[in-house]
Amino acid sequence: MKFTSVDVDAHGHSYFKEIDLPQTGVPHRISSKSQDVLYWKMTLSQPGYVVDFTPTPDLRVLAVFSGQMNVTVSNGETRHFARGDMLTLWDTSGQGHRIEIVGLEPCHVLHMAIADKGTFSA
Amino acid sequence: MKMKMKAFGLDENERSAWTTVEIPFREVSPLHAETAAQPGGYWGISLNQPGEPIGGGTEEMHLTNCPRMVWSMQGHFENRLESGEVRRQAMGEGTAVRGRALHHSTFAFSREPVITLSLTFPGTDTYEFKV
Repeated sequence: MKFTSVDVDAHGHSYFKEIDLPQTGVPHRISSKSQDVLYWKMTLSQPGYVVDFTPTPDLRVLAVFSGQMNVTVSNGETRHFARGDMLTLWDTSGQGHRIEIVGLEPCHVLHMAIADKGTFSA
Repeated sequence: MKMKMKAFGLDENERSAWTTVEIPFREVSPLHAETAAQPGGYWGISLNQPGEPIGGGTEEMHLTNCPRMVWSMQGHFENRLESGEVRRQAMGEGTAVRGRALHHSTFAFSREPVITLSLTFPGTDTYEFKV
């Protein structure tokens, strides 16, 4: 299963890339291997809320349950995430990324901090 | 503030029935609230094809034996508890699963493959949220 990821290059610039979380199983159900969680939290943010460019404090997996947000990386690219989308934040150093809550409804997001990238592969 | 989430519970006869849990948030600013950092166990994601057959049949019920939250990230699924009540989770909706609550889950009625995200917590039955 493909995920959008924010990663950082050797110069500290953040950029988007696609990563894969392998799934195995039977034809009617495939699953990822269990991925360890250090801790988790939920956020509920109103449209207009902005977190300016900052690296992620931990490797994180985000899941959007409602609302919409734009994520901008330091090369200038912005991607839009809405209900049902997931992404990973791997940019633990460098210039980081910017998050802006957009649209008309509150944005409810699950953040899962992880110790390592588990079975994600580039 | 607290966010309500539908949940598996147990009635006075230890039979599973729907209830709600309240997840405590603290207001950081007028535009942003968040929970405290909560201990987690592991997470996983599954892609389920709609329709039967379902492992164990259409009437099977099972236990997770661990507390968990499950969200639909695409499509929808249904859970039936021993009370007989069925509730549906559409995209973005979640359920707090109690380890000792018997339930039957089905993806049969979704018109598209169902992606589920599960976050499993330490313990065997219930989970206490940190404030």
